[in-house]
Amino acid sequence: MSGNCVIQPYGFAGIYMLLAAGTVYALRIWRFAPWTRIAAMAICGAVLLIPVRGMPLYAYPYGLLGELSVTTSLLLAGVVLAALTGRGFITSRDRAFLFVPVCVLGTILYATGMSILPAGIYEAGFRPLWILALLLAWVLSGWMAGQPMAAGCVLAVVAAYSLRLLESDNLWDYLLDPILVMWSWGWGMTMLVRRMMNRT
Amino acid sequence: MARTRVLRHAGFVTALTVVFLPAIREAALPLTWRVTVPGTAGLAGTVRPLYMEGFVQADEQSPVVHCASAVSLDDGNLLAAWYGGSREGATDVAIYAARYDARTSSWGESWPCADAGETGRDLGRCVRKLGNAVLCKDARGRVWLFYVSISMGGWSGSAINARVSNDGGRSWSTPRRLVTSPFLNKGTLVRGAPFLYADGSIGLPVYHELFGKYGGLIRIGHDGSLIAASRLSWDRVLLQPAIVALDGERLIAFLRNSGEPTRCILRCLSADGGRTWSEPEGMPLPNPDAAVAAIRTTAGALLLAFNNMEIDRDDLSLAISSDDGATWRVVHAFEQGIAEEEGETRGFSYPFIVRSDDGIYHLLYTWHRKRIKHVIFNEAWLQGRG
Repeated sequence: MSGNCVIQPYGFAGIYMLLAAGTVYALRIWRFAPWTRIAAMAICGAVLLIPVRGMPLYAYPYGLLGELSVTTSLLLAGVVLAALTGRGFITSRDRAFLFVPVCVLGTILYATGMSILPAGIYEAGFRPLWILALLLAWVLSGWMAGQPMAAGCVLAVVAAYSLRLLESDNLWDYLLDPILVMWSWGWGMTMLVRRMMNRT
Repeated sequence: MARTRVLRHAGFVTALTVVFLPAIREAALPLTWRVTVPGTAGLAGTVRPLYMEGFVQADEQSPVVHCASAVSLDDGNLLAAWYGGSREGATDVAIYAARYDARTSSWGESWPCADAGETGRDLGRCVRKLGNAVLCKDARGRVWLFYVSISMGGWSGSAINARVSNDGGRSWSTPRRLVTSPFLNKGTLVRGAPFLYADGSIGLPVYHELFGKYGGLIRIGHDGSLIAASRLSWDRVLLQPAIVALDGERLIAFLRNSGEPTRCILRCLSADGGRTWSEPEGMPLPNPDAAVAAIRTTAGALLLAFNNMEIDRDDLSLAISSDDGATWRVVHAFEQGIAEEEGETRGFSYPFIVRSDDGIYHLLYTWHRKRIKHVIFNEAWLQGRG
């Protein structure tokens, strides 16, 4: 029972996006030159492939976090692209359009997972007819509200689910993950504090 | 300008149709929840009572062994799997398997069929330790091994992996990770015996240990994909469901109770093949926070192997119910009473019952965490117990 570690492309991509987004975002805030951000991205990729005790480094956070949702990956890609180009691909309105439902749905999903609410919400994700109806309404409202990027994000989630790009067969895992829900909570808190400070 | 707008909208509607239509079509496919009830055709009629005891492996290969499971193979033999290592939760724990030759009534040498390093390499992620394993034979005769792995932390960090064997357990496919929990896929374990649905999918009893303990049922398709799931309870103390089909639609689940003493086994019922479950209710049988095993006999009664105590696991007994679990009668004690030994985990636990194609029942259980004990009995022996 021996052999080389199999690199899971989506698993590697998720961990890489997480590290790269954090790094280039920090470099952007500290006003490092754009070329340093590109170099940092390359270094991030190389670091994650360094073998540690017979496995590439990425395999350790991947073991802990598993695969990131498609939504998280797209938002992280948006952060990376914004840091590299200086141009925001995902506007604050897009973010609000994504984060508010994510915050609400994620809270309900995890509350049922913790037996706080007695409903099989996660289990419904294996036969997700009503969840698809919800996402369809979400995409339509995004399009009508002039948020094509946000609507495109949700479309990408459903497309990835149909193609089973992740390990999971559950639509929720394509849409949400704990990192995204915490991110949306953090975003919500920031918005709340900003609004309160503007009032005073 | 207007033309551009029309084109944009047309593009959007096309994208919407292309993306949503296949997903909706797939989700709307009807799923029958009819269960396959093991038949009794071909079983010998009245035969002499049979009762035998032995151990699965010839000697103590691992300091600690636990959580045995077995499946009847097409060739009439039995395949068992369990985990063993230096201690429970150690990084050297591996899943072992052994074959029982029904003709010679003996167990062959055991062999490792999964370890943490190999599982991690195949899954492309760090796997630090392994745990519970269960076996199952599908409608095509393939043997499935479902086993728990942990990347970080304790049992609440568990996830389930599946491997398939086309040669009765001699060789296995690379593992596939089953995603069963929204919390980074952490906290799900296996223990109870799987069963088959009429469409050939596997019903796998599972339980969750992260943010409370509760039982669940997942359905696994021919290709290893998860096609449905249900939840047995909303409590935070009920785990390790042992599920038995009463008929094609009715299921009964027996649950380990990890609540405050005094504890009893709980059961819940499903009238729709496991899609929905009744509220758990207590049974007049004690439970010392330990797993139970159940099976339906060829005569239609229910058998339950359980620790007949409220605190310890010193007693392992067999109870029978002839009225679909409403009333129970303890008919035999496989083990009763042990002397305490300082610093050693003793007791009899984690029973698993399987019936081979010749109608003989095989009970496997952990014997003082040192060995896997194997008890064989038949219907005639059961009838002789009154």
